[in-house]
Amino acid sequence: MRDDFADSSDASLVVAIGRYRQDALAEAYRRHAGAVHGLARRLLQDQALAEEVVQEVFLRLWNNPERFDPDRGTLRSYLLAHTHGRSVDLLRAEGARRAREEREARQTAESGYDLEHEVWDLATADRVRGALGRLPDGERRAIELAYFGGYTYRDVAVLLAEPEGTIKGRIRSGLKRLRAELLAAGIRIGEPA
Amino acid sequence: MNDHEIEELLGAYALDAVDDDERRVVDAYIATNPRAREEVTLHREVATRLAFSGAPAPAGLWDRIAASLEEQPPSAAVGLAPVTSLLEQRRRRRRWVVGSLSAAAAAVVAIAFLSVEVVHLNDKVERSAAGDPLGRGAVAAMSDPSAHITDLASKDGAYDVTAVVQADGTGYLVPHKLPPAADGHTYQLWGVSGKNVVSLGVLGASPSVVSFHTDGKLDALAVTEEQAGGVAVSKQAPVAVGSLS
Repeated sequence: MRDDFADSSDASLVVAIGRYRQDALAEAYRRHAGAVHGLARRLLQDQALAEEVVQEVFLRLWNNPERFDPDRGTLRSYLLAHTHGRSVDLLRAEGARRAREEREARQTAESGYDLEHEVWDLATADRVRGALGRLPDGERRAIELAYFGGYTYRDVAVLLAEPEGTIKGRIRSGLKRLRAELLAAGIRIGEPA
Repeated sequence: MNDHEIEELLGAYALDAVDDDERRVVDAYIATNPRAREEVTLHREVATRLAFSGAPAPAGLWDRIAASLEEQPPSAAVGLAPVTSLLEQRRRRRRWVVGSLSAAAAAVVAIAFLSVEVVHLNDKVERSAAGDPLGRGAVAAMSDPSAHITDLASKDGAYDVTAVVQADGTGYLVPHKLPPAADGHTYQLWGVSGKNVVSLGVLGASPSVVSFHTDGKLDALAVTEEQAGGVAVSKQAPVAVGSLS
């Protein structure tokens, strides 16, 4: 069944999903579920919650395929934006945050937990890591805390003891600089990963 | 917040690192500013690369998703049809038209299961329309034996609106439960006739009883929440839908 859509573009998959083709959703899952799960897992530090988010993200695509607009980014970007938003919502619930911090504290104590260790396992990820590493420390830390920590820029400002305006400026300038670094490293932005 | 301050937030906004009030401000800003919208899109594409992972999702997760699809077919799912005008449908790319129409038809099928108890609705309308200048018209329309009456409701019960459409096309919408739309947003009413979906009016952010007019028979009505001023074509899932069939 997968062969029907193996060569289809992501946009074509979404059209087929709109026609209730479950095999098209299966192909979208095959292409992107790893990234979706990796991001949810990294943010939430909770396997069960991460799987719930993955399930919710793909069910949303199934139920509301028209919400994906190919003129406004790739399917992966769309799925990951929803994954990030949902994970952050869960994380910002006080209980989840506290539980995560407790888990992180345990992992740090038990295994020298390394935030950067988990997902950087392919050649492309190495180049992304290199680009991230070339950012000024202030920008890199602000982006990491906001994106992988799920913190607001105000939280980040408190954590880094910097003014809020400085942090939101660093996030913005850091993302622009990171884009330039990724392009310089040969990584195309806005194309399927 | 001035434009410069909003633009400084675009990076944090793209990473979900703003609070709810700021998010609404930026939502409204990028809705009318293509350059800012493009910047957010680029930031999110960069973030996509940060999230890149070669690791597969856990075994068995797809099976659970597939099983839930079987338990919850799209026609009965929470997400309902996109609503688009005929004019915009013609303008849009063909592949999206086909998908949207299929989904719209599915929504009509889904809402056909909603039962309507006219006596109960009459009571609700009389309570909700009391004291409203258009309320008497709505109540009178309810007693018209040729009128079509429906309850537009969301699955979670958060939205509840009664609509009545008389034979001459005069209609009234009576909100019972309709929370104020978010800042910079408005509710909009749509009519579904077969595969056609047309706007019947922009309702405002906190509508009371409103009247509208429709030409021809409608199968269903839907209410969406849109950017202030309304849209010619909606990409939002309806907050409430009711069948007139």
